Amino acid sequence: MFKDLGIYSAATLSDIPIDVIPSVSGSVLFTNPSIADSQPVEQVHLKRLEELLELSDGWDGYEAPRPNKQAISQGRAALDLLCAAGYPPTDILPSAEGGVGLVFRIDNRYADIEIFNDGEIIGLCAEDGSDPITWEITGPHSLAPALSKVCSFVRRPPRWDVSKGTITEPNI
Amino acid sequence: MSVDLPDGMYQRERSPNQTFDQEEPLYWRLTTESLRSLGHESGIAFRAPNFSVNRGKYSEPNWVLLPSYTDQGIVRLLVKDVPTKEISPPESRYRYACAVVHDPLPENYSHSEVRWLKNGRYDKDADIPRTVKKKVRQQLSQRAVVLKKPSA
Repeated sequence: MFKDLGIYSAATLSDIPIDVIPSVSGSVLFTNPSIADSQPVEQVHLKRLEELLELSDGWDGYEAPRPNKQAISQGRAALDLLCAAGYPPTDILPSAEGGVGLVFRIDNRYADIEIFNDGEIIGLCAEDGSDPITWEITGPHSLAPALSKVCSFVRRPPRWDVSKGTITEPNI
Repeated sequence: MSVDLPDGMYQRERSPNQTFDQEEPLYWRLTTESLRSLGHESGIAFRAPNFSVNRGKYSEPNWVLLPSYTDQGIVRLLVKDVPTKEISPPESRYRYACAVVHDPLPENYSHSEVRWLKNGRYDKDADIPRTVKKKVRQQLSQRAVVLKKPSA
């Protein structure tokens, strides 16, 4: 179901103005200057992360744990990567399992990165009417590719391949 | 604010009834944060099974707000919305699925649970992989219908 997603071709990519900017982690991101000016959106999301830290246990009316500082911090790191590249998430939500989620919704496609309070991270891509795909995101260098994957899935251009300075095509 | 419970909520001498119609509604509460998540059809703020619901055969929708949650909203699923198809992760010898079970409480006869079955059996303490739970949470969120928005 997810094999033919209109993956961005080289021709498509050549139409996108690309700059190279340093990321918060010291690696390099490719970005589109026409859409990278997401400062106001980033501020909204940063404020949202602060709000989530104020939640109490049971915020869902049942027994959901509040997001802890570690999850918020990891969410902030992911948000920095996304905003630096000009692709902020649609929203940031508390997880009913304890943690935070960066969610992306464009038309009938949905994706998220869920960061749990214990540090585990899981990605999800879903298209209306089909079964969602989930995968574990493990290791310190797997977050950026996972973010690229979800951004690509919701039909945004792939962003970074930091190690070699090339754009990685998504492989969902 | 706490209110008196309707007479129909009390279990009294009634036994559990494990027969469910596929179209039978299941109700539970939601807060403003949960509503925000459902607005994106996101499973992030959606509880993973095992979780409690009121079954519609024995409950009015607003009974989930009793006795003291009247500022919260109401969500509905149908029994057929609960994914009963088994999920077996790659390289796993386990199969996971969900089931709805009538589990009455003395003051809430309609109380039921959406439970995980691991290899066809229920174990309250079963360790369910998060990738599996996340998939089901997303499916449930896509099928949930908000009947009443929270007021606070």
